[in-house]
Amino acid sequence: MQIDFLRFTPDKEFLKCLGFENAVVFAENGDLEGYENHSYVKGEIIRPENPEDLRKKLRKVSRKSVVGVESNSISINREAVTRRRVDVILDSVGRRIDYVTVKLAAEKDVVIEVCLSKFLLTKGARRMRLLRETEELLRLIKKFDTPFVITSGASNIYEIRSARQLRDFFSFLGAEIKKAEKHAEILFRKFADANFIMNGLEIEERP
Amino acid sequence: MKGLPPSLRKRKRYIAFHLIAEDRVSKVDLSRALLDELLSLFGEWGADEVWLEYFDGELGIVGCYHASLEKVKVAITLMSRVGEVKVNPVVLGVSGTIKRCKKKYLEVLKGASSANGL
Amino acid sequence: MKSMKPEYILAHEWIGLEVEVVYSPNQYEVGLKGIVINETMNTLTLRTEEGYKIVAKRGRTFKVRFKGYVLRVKGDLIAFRPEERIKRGLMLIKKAKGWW
Repeated sequence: MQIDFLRFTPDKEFLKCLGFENAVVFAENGDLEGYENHSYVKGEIIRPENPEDLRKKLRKVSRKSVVGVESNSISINREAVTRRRVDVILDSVGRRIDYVTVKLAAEKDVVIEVCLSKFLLTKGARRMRLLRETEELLRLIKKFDTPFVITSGASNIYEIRSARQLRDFFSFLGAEIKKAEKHAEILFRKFADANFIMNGLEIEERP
Repeated sequence: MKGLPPSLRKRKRYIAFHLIAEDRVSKVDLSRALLDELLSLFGEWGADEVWLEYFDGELGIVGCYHASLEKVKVAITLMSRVGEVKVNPVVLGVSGTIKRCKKKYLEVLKGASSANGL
Repeated sequence: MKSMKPEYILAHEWIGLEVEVVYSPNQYEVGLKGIVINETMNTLTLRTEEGYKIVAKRGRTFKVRFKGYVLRVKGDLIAFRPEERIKRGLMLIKKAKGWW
């Protein structure tokens, strides 16, 4: 099952045509068009300015949504990985992650998102730097077996790409696609499927 | 990436060069020109981080990662102008550290212009 | 009672529970059904209709009846010595359920 992480609510049929069975839609404080009525799994973005802010916002988060932290600061991302309630470290153009964070994420079972949209929004030397950084990040992820997902990270219809395209692009950068798909599915099922408890533990019948 | 252990750190190489130009060139302009040349030749995909470690208007050191060493040497050689100024970069040598690079290549040329008749 | 929740199967005593092998790399093990008689770090001993069978934990998937639920459990999640599985099981549950 292919899952995408998005920042907007597209038509479900359209997503299916692109090869995605479902998606997790992220919004900050629930302010997104059509956020209430869609049938996707809800996610909440937290954009903290400092660690205190992170802690405050984490307290307000709903139990049923996927929690994603988006920040450009290395130290905030590192702090976010240690928080139990955080599920994903979201990707953006200016995101910086260091070696320690990747290692911690593997131990704490926090997913690192690697998105395509940051490459669409940059050009030239900036994009070159992003490409090399992403290659290095994927190398570390492979080394530590950190859970990660490959997504389009789209905020509008023009940033979305088909599942096949994502797979091909990131395998070129050296990502282990099968693992990423497995982690996306696990994260999705944790929130969408009431009978899925963890990887390897499912309920078949209830009393 | 920050804080990598020694085994994972990218190995760097430093290229010493002598820039022959018809006019003074600023560090910033040279840096930008080198990056443009690299991007134009190899594109975003083939290029890697390159930076100007030292430049005094005449002699300089370019730093790059060891994996892209050959590409950077080619880019330096093919650089023919910096903005409006026509330049001729001559590669003197490559070294693994800045200190050794300065000692081996930059001192030699400085010494060469005086007594040795080079 | 906290232990009524299905996920606590990971930390619970398996001896005495009714178990069936639903997946195994060894095709002859699939379909083995019985009651757990003994547990070691890597194996479960089942008393089946055909007698006592020792099945490895890792790589197999078991269907087990627990507190009214029927659960599918991957053997890798319980592949610990029974004494330390209590602690490890609780750790796994904590990790999966987050802070609730």
